[in-house]
Amino acid sequence: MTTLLSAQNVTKAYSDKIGIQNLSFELKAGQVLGLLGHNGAGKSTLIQSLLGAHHFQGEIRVNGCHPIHDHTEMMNHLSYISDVNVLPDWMTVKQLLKYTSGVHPSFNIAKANQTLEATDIKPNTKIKHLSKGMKVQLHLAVIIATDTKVLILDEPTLGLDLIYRETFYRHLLEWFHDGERALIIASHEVAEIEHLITDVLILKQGQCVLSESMESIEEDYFVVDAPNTHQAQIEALQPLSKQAGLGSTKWLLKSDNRSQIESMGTIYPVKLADLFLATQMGIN
Amino acid sequence: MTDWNDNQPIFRQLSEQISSQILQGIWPEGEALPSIRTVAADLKINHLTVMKSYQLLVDDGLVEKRRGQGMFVAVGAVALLKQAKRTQFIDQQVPQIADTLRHINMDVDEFVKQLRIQMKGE
Repeated sequence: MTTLLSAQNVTKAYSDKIGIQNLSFELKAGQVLGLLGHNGAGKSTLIQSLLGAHHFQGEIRVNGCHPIHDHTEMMNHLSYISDVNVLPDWMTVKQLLKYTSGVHPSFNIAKANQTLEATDIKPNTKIKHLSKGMKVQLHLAVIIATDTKVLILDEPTLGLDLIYRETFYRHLLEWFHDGERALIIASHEVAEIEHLITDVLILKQGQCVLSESMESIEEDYFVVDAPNTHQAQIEALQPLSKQAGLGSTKWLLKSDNRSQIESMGTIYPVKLADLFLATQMGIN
Repeated sequence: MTDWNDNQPIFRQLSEQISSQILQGIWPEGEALPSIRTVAADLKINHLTVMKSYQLLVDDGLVEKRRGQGMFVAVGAVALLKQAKRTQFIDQQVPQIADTLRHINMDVDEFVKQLRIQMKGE
């Protein structure tokens, strides 16, 4: 598979603090990367570096381009939907499409119109009069009509109702599978994106605390729900986290010790939300 | 979004769902199954998960992959599934029933009588 994005030892230091430190990862066509972390963990700093919106140390290549030095060329194949609306409020939908076809070399206006026909968005409406859900829908329709290889989404469904979420992910996935593309989704809605992503990168205070494919997470970790009488034995194996229940506890463990514990209780696959919380605080 | 249970990985749950739909005749033998892209978009899950589920079904001989055309329900899939269900019933459910009968002191004749009433009712 083609490598569409690579980051090596990316560091961004601000005058008073470190934004991100030594982040390295690769994204190939077909991968969907979930970018997780608390507020202030460095997600946005990383995204801004990938977009070439600020200077950084280390190496980034998006489709072979440097985010700052080859910015114009890079933007032909990179798109970004932020958590706040960036579409110009004062334009009408029709004007936005016309404007985009003027500035974006691979924009297919017919395709954008076709996507929008299936929605309630009318060409002559001003963007400022669209609902939040419609704005996101419009933005995605514009991106789907370009030849984007890498799409970065920052909290894409924040503030959207269930119906818009459903439509949003449907359009996104249908488009994604049509070509050789890669996606990055930064989100706090861990459960919402858990089954959507193929890989995950978890940040904590600017550093990477977990970078793995979802497939190996499934193999490397497990949850055991066992009676509290086994507590001493299980906790000797240093579980990553625990959650108390009625007379029993759910422990999250690495698979190395699975054979020793399997008979003590019921085994469950690990949930990304639990693993995320475990990376953020640890057991106590 | 689809509700998955916590007990098993999604790809297993999905392949079980498809097997039981084959058994119900929703996807007839020799006919195409929905494409990976469609399933992924409908269920909001990633394509690798869908591929893994389909692969499980291919490994079990229930589904066949036709190059460039997609996934098809194998001829003979229903017979295979019925056989598997039968084995599973004898290996797993029958011991549970036996356990319960012992627990509640019900003899086999009484159980058979109850079973007959149940089956007549349908």
